[in-house]
Amino acid sequence: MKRKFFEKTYLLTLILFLVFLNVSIVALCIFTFNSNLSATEDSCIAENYAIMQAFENDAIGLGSESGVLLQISYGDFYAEKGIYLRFEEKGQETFSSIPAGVTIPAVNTVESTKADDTYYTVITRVTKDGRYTVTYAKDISYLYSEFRGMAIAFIALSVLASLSLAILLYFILLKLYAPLSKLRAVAGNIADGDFSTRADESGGDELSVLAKDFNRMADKINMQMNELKAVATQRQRMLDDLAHEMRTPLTVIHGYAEYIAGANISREEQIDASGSIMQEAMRLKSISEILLDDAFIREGKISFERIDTGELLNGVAKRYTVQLKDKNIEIYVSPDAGGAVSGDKILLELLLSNLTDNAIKACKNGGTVELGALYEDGVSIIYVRDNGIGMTDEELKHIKEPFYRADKSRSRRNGGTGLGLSLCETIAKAHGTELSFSSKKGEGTIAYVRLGKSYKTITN
Amino acid sequence: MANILVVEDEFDINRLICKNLTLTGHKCKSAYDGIEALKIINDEKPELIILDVMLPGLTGFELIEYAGNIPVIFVTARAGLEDKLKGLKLGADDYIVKPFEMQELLARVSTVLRRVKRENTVFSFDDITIDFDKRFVCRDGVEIKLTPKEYDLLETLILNRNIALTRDRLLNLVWNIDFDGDTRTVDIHIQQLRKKLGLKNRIVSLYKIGYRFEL
Repeated sequence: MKRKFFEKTYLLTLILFLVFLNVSIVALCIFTFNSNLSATEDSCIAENYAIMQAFENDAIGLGSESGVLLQISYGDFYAEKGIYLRFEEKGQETFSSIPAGVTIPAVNTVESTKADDTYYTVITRVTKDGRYTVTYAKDISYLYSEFRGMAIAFIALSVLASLSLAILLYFILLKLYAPLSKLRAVAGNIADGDFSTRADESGGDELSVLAKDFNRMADKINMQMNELKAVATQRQRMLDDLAHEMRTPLTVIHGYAEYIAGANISREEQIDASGSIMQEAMRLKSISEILLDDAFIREGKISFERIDTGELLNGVAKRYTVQLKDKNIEIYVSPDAGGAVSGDKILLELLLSNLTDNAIKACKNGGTVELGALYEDGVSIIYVRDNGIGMTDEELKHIKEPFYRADKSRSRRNGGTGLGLSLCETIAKAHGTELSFSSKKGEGTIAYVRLGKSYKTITN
Repeated sequence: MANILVVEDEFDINRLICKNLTLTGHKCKSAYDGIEALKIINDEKPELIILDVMLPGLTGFELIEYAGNIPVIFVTARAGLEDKLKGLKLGADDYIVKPFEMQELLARVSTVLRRVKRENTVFSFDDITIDFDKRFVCRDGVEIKLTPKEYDLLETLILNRNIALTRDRLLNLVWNIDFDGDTRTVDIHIQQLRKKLGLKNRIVSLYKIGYRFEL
């Protein structure tokens, strides 16, 4: 991978730093040299002054005849110390130890100059009596050679500093960038479909905040993926179950048709066989109808209205009264069921009918089925209770799954599709609630659903 | 010919299997769950069990442990290879997957019964005797020479007696031809059988369907 961002940051920081470092070093050199030079000139001025004083005193003391001799002795004496002098009397040079090529400056000026690769500080002054003009020149080459040495040291230092900086900066940046490249690797993994990897959130800086946000995103994506997978799995299982569920009726229909067509059988047997065919065809029809209803409720918007609970329950119970007289099963509505709930009347009727069907099927001869409602804290509970065969906890766990039958052969002989409770659950969900059961083997079952009293419209 | 126990919790399918087995001369007993089946196995010792895998009470895989040396044919809606292997490993004699055709089940029943020698290898009706082991047919004590295909056709008709077989089905069962072949082949062989064995009244032509051997 090209680390362009890393390279850019590294190069820019390095260049910036090197420029500042070297400019500072150069500035420091120049400043140091200049201050050294001016200090040297100051000391030259002081020295020159002292020499002038001594010369004036000696000249007055010795008289004018010894002028040139005095000049020579001064010149020789100071030449040994690297100081060169030039005397001028009445505009005429009388003595000079100053090397040729050094420019003589005007009176009362200080000048630094160069001649034959040697640097001098030159000062020209006039004695107090105005008789002599004295020029003073001091060799200050040492200053320049010192400067050269210093410059070389500074350049070496600069190179050393630059190199170590370049190396240090590289590793420091690399360390700083490590979380970023880790994050990038994690992002790459996720992009490749591995939703289980997570970024390192340690550090407490902006990158760790980014990592946290990133992990949150990955969690969310993972969650949604899992939800989608779960839905897909559920759909697939439903489809598998449906295919399996259709095999039995189809086997029966095909088998009996073959039987009627081929076997030498009586009229009664023909009627019996075609009865089985019709029954299985009806079952297939019910399955398809329930699946269509289910899809319709799932996708549709249901309209909530105020429903009188007593009316709703009595309406459902009434449909069964006649049919149940022969079976010696009693159905009744609890006397304190009166009240109101909010919901879709037709769907709730369908839900209650399904629950009542199940309750009746669970009942033995002489059983009772009770439809009722309870109210508490703005919530209504509508229930269907029977004192029938009941269910085990294991059976309760699966009861809402499509095509699950607690007692397969009995349910099928009663014409059950195995989809009733799955549809009930869809209706309950459309009302923003769910279907609950409480049951004990051999004692009976209560199926109930909680409903809100207030009017509202839930868009599914 | 044999006492067969049919264990299948789907009421209609159970009844259908029994009806067809009865037509071909077997005696049938139905059981709709594992417990009921176990009782019948212990009390009546059937000669063959047709066993569904998914059963209430006891599963077919559990039930086969109690079957002892009674031959078992598994019938199940599960088409998975693993189930098939498991069934056969547990000692099942054959395995058939729903939805199946009755003739297929009948053929397997007959194969299994013959393998365990519970089915009579000699079958007689009217003045005709057939030895299935020797592929030998005689009429009034006189051997009747049949071509191999004629013999196969006769055997298939007898095993599926009282059940109509289409020409296509016969082509498939006897000639192993799995397409809408020349059904005239079937007609010619039927004619030969009728003539050689005097089966004009036994082999009945069914309009638009095929043939049925009635007994």
